Amino acid sequence: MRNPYLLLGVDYGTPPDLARRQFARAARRVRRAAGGPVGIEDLNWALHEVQSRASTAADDVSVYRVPANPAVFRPLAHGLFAVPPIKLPRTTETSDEDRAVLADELAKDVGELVATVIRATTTFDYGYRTPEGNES
Amino acid sequence: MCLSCGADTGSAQVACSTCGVTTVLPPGADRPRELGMFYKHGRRLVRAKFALCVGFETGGARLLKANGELDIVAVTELPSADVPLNGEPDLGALRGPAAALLWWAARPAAPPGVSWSPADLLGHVRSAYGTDIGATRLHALDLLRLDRPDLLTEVGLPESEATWLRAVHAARRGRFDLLTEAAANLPTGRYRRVVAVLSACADGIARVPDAARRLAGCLAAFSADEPLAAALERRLGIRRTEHGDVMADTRLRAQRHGVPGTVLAMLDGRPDAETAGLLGPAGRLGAAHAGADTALGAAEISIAPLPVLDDIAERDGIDAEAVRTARRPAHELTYLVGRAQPGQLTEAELETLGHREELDRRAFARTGEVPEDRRETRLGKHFAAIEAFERNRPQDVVVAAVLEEYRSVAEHLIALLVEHPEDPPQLPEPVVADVSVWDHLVGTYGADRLRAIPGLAVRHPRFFEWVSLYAAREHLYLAQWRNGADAARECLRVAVDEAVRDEAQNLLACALHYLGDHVGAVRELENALEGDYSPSLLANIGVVAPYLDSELAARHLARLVREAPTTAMRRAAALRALEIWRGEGERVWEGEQPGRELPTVLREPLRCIVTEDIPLPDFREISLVLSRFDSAWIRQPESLAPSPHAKSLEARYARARAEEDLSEVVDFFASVRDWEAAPDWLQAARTRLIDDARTAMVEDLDGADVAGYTAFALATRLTGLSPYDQVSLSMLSTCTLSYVLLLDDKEISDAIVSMHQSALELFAKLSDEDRARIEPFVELATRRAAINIQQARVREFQQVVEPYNDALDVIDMSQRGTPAWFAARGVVAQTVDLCRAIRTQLLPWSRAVDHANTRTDLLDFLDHVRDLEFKAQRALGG
Repeated sequence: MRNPYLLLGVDYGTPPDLARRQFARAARRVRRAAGGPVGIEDLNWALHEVQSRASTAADDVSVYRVPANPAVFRPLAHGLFAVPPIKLPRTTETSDEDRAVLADELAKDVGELVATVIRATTTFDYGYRTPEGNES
Repeated sequence: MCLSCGADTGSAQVACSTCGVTTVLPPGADRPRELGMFYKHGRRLVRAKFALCVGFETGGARLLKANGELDIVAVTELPSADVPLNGEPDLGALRGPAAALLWWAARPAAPPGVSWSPADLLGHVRSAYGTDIGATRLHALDLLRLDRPDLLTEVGLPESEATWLRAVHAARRGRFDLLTEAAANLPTGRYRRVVAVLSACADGIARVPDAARRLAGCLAAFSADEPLAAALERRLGIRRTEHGDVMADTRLRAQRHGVPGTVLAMLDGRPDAETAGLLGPAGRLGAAHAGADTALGAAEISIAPLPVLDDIAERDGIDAEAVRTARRPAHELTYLVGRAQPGQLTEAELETLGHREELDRRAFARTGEVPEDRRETRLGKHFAAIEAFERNRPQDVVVAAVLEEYRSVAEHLIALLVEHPEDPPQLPEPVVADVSVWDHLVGTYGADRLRAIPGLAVRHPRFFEWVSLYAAREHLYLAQWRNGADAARECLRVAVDEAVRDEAQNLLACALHYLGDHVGAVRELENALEGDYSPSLLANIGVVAPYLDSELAARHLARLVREAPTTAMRRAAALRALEIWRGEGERVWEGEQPGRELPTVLREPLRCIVTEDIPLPDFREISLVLSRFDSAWIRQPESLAPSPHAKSLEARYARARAEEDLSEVVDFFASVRDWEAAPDWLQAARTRLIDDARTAMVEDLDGADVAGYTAFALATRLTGLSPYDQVSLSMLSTCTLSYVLLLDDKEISDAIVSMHQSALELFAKLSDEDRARIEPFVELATRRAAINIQQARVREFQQVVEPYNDALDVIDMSQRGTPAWFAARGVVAQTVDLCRAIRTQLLPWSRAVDHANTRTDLLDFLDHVRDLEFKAQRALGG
């Protein structure tokens, strides 16, 4: 029932070096709550467990995982405290010729497509008018 | 348009104002039944010939005879006999009155046996209907349906109208050369609609040699007032094309020919992604540059000018992965990734590009510090401001130093922190909207204080659910289970995102578990497992469930064996489920047969995991469990075949153990040649089998026949046994087997005797301690072996006594030298041989046996044998 990660107050699977750092905070907390259910021996045990489980924590199924999904505690967002990756400054300049060629290429491709569509959809009638409509 | 002369006419006009010809086509014409029919013609008694009805004149039908001559026959006298040729024409789609004649005229050859040509028939049609423009036009249409536009003028159609019809017919059939020819031959400035026909076939016409020159006159007559003609001139190169003309002409053609709306959307240069997929790479590139929502692939990136890609990158229209696979110089690709998704660049690439700002950003994200020499840069100043926030010195933040896009957030945050350093009454909207600030808020005020802000859940539900989740976790870290459960429940009250709800239920389950409410904990986790879920949730329910129901826990662990993302996790789940089952005690799970069959819940997970790439020790453990509790499955050769350990010692041992006969295991052990090098588990398995066999025999020395045979096999077939094992197994198996076989009146084999003798020799070399342990069994083994053999000889001896006595009577009563006499002597001689053999065999045993009664029995028997032998020899005259 004892969970070393909960005792130390760290996320499940926390690497030993981070857990060691957290140990000091946990120890202060334990000292402040003198006489509480958790003692310094428990923290020592917990740190030892975290260290010995380091390589197998990801696959272990015997310790309750808090959190089960760490990602929800770190919502991905850029902003004041998390500046997004910075785009490389531009070094080129687009000329009118570039734009014109590009437009022509697009027009050519679209033209071919339109021609194909017209050929597939157009019907040619001979033009005779009948009481029912144009003769086909 | 008048089809006769090509002049433009109003749609309401019945006749052309230029040429006066009607513009209306009659719906159809009465078709004389006889016209175009073959009739029998000729005298009786002469072979009948056929003549074709090609018209009428006063007095009858005009018949064209086979020789080309004409004959007139009254219609009423036309023969009614059936002529097979009349079944050939298919007139279904033809409408002219002389349709049947046209059908025959359009054929490449006349029917067999006639001398006239099919083309000759057209003259008859013209003479009959040439003055009737309606009938002539119907005949023209019939000829087009018969694909004979070349015959149009033969039926009396004016040349210009025939040329127009040929042009349309060629367009319909995709014969662009014929279309070009017909269009070029139309009267200049007439037949305006030919422009639309040519436009619809522009691409085909462009491929016709010399089309531009041939059509120049035709198009020039219309291009002044018909934009489609001018567009066609540009398409054919007759007229100069400027930038933009191509798209404008395409748009014009599309509008005039009524193409679908999705294609029309392309003409604005912004096709949707699906329609853009119909374009080639250059077209897709152009569309992307024009702002279309289309993904650029490696093909487009490979051909595009760099400035164009730069334009698209400005709008985030380039994917770094596509860039990496494009064919361009390496430095350009790196540059483009830096322009598109700089986060994808390696630090080495950033160094190469000299992109210091991104390097600084990453360094700050990693260490939280700004190098001294970079503090005065744009980004360095921003990070210095962040440092001030994190040192809890908001008053030191220089707003102007913050990057422009985040200044508003910084101003609001400074105001909040300075004015309300302890208990914020509210949170400014811009601050909460910036998710990157949340961690700082919770670090500054604490999660519980933020949750206590009035109306927070209503105004900022997403922040509230996150901060509640955060608070729940913090309470669990402080072992404040009730507070943790409350915070998790608050989060669940507002959370809608499935991942957040799953985590809140996970934290709530943890709190309940530590509060002793395992039912509640399992319920929360089962709720979280509905829909999408992470393997961690499954692992957690496997942790909690044993406190409630071990079989339930195993069921969840079994699910983890099926669904966990890594083999290691699946293996851990399988072993944990196995461990729970082994610790279950007396309770029998569903499908389990104690000591024989695995419970249902474990069977598939163990079968599944044992074939995966798991460590050898785990494979050994699971395969041995299966060999005992799922032996039928593991005996099948294909069961373990997928495992990377399929040919290992472990797999062979598991299969041997799964057999019902222990001899397979002995065979397996016997196959091991070097026990010194054997792995520990194998030596332990052998020791266990030896101990089991030995214990079974010691406990039931008179009945443990299976153990006796196994011990015999172990002692005689295995190499590398210790002297003590060798002797003890030999002696105990001799004890058991001698006795068991004796009960069935069977004699022990020479192999057992030999094993016993070897063991006796080895016994002398044992340590005092080992000798003392086995000594009682040594005497017993020798005694039982001796008794077994003695009894076998007694049975033999008794079998010869009666024939021996009979033989003596024969010798006494029959005449010497007779066959009966000789036969009787033979029996007596065999008796002598048997007695000698018995004495030879049993004498050593009488000396080896220590047991007094047994030895006395043996010696008495030997005396009896010797006595008989003596008498028998005397009877033989010896």
